[in-house]
Amino acid sequence: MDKPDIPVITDITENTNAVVNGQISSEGKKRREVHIGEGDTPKLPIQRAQSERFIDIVPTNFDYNKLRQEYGRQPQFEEDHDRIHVGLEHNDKLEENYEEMTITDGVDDTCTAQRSTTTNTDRAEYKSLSLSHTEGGWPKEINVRDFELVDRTKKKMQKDEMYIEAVPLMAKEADYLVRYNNTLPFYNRYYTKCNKNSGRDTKPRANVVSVYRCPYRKTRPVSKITFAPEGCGRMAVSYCPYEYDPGFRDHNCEAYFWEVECPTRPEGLVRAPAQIVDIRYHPKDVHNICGALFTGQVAKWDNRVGPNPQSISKYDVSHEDVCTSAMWINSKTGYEFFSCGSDGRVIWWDERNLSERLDYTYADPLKGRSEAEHAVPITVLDYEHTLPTKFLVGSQFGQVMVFMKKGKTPLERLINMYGAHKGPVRSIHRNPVFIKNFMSCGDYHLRIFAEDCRDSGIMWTAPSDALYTYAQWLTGRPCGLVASRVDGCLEFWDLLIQGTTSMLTTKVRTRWVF
Amino acid sequence: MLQSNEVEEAIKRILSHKGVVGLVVINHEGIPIKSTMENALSVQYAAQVTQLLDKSRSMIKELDSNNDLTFIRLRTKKHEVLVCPEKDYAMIVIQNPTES
Repeated sequence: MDKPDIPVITDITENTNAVVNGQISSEGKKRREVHIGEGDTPKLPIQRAQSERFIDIVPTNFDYNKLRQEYGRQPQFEEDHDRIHVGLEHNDKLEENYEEMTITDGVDDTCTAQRSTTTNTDRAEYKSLSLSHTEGGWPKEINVRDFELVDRTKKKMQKDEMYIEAVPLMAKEADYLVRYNNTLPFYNRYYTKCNKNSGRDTKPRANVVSVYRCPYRKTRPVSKITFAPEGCGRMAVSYCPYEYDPGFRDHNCEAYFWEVECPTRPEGLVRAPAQIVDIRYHPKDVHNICGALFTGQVAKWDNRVGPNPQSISKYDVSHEDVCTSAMWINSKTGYEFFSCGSDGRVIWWDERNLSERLDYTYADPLKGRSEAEHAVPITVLDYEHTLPTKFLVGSQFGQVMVFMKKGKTPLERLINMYGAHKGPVRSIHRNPVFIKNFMSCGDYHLRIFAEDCRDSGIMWTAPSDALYTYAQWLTGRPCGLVASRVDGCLEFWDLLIQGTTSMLTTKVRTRWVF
Repeated sequence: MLQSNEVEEAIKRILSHKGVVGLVVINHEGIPIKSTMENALSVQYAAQVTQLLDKSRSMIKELDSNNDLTFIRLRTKKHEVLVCPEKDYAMIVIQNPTES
């Protein structure tokens, strides 16, 4: 069916009206030729002519319909030079229809006008008010202010069945709680005072456990107490005065063995021709006992056999002065012990044959020289079984010497010498746990040494009130020391808790404590 | 009549205990039906407790739908407030617990 012919707008210029190009044919079957311009190719179907200016036409589309049967052959183009198809002359008369406007507003957009910024709408006013609700829940018809009405409504509600059922149940529950509260006030703050006393009783205390009185009539100073190894619960006590006092010569030359639990009576005793200065249990054998005598000899006992010594060393091989200390050594044979004396000698013995000495050395403070004339009298000796190669020696003049047991010549034995104290060294003890550290006690100080520090001790205590007579590391605490003083006080030190003062000083006796 | 006597008796029994300051019975709308205290105070209590009841009940139900609120005990500095809900009503008891 034939569609109505629609004019095609191809060109619009300012002065002319729309010019319609193309031959309009009502016959329909002819091919439609569109002369747009020179050299232009027709585009079918044309929605909009491409030109410089558009007119705002609503609708913006033109439906250009063409029958399918009207699609013809491809247009055959032929070059057509220099032939003016359309000629439009300038028409001055039309210019009168127009007025030139110097300032115009033109909109050149194809889309609808939109703003890119927000605008303010009308302001809505807000006000913050709290909801005042004194009473509510009443049915609408009741005026709350009307007391009578309210009362009547309440009474009516009380007659409600549900109410009558519910109240006793609730009352039962409430009753229980009320009574509970009355009996048990559990909201109080309890135990407030208890926390204040929670500071533990950290004051150290020391109690005298038992007093062992020796059966001898006269009081004698105890020179040494040793405990039997491995907790046998026994100790040996030897009595001897250090000073050469003729009054003490009459004392008997016995050393007692006590059982620790039984303080009333000693368990046994050993005798010697001279007073026993030092007595030690063999570390492995409770019955083997060695001792140092006042005469400079050493003696050996067997506890089971009898009180008399099994053997005593001969005079000529023994010390020339008081033998101050004797100790068992860790040796392969297990029979060796060594002793030191005020003559400055350290002698090693084999217990089986005390008539000759195995080895000896002089406590010569100068390194590299070991001579009898220069030897200093030794007061104490210390040997730790965990460190068998070295031993410590404390001298009368306050020197602490570290010796090495094995040395090819006696000259090489002294490792180090510390000028520790100003008086005789009363005790030396290696720390049982930290064997590189040892402690010496002398005049008014306790000094702690580390073997690696060659020059002097690493730590020492402030001068105390009285001379120290003995000190030892505590076996339970590696940092603890116990020291006894001349004024009868026993001091307990704990280096980690209080390194500067003693933890506890208890007065044991009014007189000397060794 | 007997039943209302029972109600009166139950309430009297609670009031007879040591330390009990007051008692309010409220309904589900928050109206104090029975009260031993003055009106304004009981209305206040009713309003506050209703909200508390609703909130705690919903909380418990939400955490465990099989669970339910049995009672609320509010210990304050001055006294203790006990709330016992039951079906549509609730009983509020204000007590001063004894200090030992």
